[in-house]
Amino acid sequence: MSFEAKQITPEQLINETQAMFDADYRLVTATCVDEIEQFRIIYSFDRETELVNLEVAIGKQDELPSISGVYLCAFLVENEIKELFGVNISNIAVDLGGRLYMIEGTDPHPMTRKEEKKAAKGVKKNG
Amino acid sequence: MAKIVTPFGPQHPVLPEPLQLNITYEDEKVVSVAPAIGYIHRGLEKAGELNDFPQNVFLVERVCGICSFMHGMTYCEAIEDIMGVEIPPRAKYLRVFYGELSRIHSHLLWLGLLSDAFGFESLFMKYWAIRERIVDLMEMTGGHRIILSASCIGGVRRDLTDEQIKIIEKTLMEVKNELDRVTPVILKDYTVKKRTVGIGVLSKEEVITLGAVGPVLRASGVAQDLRQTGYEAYGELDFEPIVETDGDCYARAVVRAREVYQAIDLALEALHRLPEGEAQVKVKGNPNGETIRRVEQPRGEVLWYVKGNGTKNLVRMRVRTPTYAHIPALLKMLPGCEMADVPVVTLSIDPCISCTER
Repeated sequence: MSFEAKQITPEQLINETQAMFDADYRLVTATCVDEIEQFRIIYSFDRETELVNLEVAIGKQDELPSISGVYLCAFLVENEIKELFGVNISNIAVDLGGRLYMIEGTDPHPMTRKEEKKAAKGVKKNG
Repeated sequence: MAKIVTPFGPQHPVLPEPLQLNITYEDEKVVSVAPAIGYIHRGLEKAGELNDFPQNVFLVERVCGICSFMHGMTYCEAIEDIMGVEIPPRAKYLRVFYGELSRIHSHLLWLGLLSDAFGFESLFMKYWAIRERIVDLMEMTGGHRIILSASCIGGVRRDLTDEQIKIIEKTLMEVKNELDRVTPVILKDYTVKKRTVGIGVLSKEEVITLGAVGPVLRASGVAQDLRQTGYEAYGELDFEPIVETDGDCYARAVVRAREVYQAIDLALEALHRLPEGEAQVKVKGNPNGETIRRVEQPRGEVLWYVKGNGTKNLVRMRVRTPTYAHIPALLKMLPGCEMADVPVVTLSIDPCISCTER
């Protein structure tokens, strides 16, 4: 499997991101994964087709600093994660206030998961 | 001079899909731009968690019509990576062939739209007439004009016969000849240059810091194309990225015009070297693990993240599409442009809002 990520803390995020910026990495995207008890945010960077991932795990109520102060282009994906998952991302350079996709009156944070699906054992095989 | 704010879109003749740019002008010069999206957000990533993972192949092909095959292929690659599936060599070459066919028809569609954006109607019609030849090939091989459903987990479900290969080779050579008559117009015509040269310029440093991808990246002098990584059969084919250095709308048009020729050559090379054997292997079980896969779509790099937990449903399915990456670049390009240049600059990123919002 081709997935590797460097684990960092929320406190390290800005400095680690700045190091990627200084080393001429391009921000590819950030991916939020709801692990029920916590969120994992995977930041992907590219330089000359080499992909590097930084991963931050945070509690559901914890605050995560925005990296849009380093990579301005991160504002779009940070707004998306904040809106669809409810991750508490602070200081986004352009904060759209939860109105990137959603309209007033809709369920907040539709991408969150409520419970873990059952494990593979006993599940009918799929081809 | 007083400033005025004018909406560009969501319905506009040059926009095939709804995107709104609220543009502040001073006289006829763009001062600032505020984007508004969300008109066609469909929640496809969430739907990907609710379907069985094999059903998702058909779902992800509908993220976008033009990049349909490549979305399906990348998703299949991700599942195959997690499950440790090695697809047959013939399937790898067929995926290259279908991928390059997608690139040809996508770029021809865009070159037509660009011509239409600055009022060159006859050039628009010429490009779209040529594109029809490619779409006919897609219908002959995949059974549909755009959404082919050619990829499956474990390989390719649309194999080619010898007779089909002969027709494809003949048609692609004819398309090349037809392009030889049209391409000089986009490359040399005074009107085209007048409307594109020096417009919407992005430097090499800017495209990297703004996260641009694909032809926009390469038009600003960055020699990067994910096909260099050799995914599928690209590592065995003759490939070098096409690069321009001026970083303006003209450079982006030149990159795409040249990439059409390159895509034809790659498709033909893939057919010439097509190995014998099966086009797919049977896959059993459910994915358990996570991966990231990237490929070079016509509009640029696409990233798929997939995570499974051993059940038939995925824990997470995520896609970052090229146009999503180009929104910040667009906001950088527009300020300073004239009002008349807004459609051309906007089109120069080859916007796909279906992809962006998913």
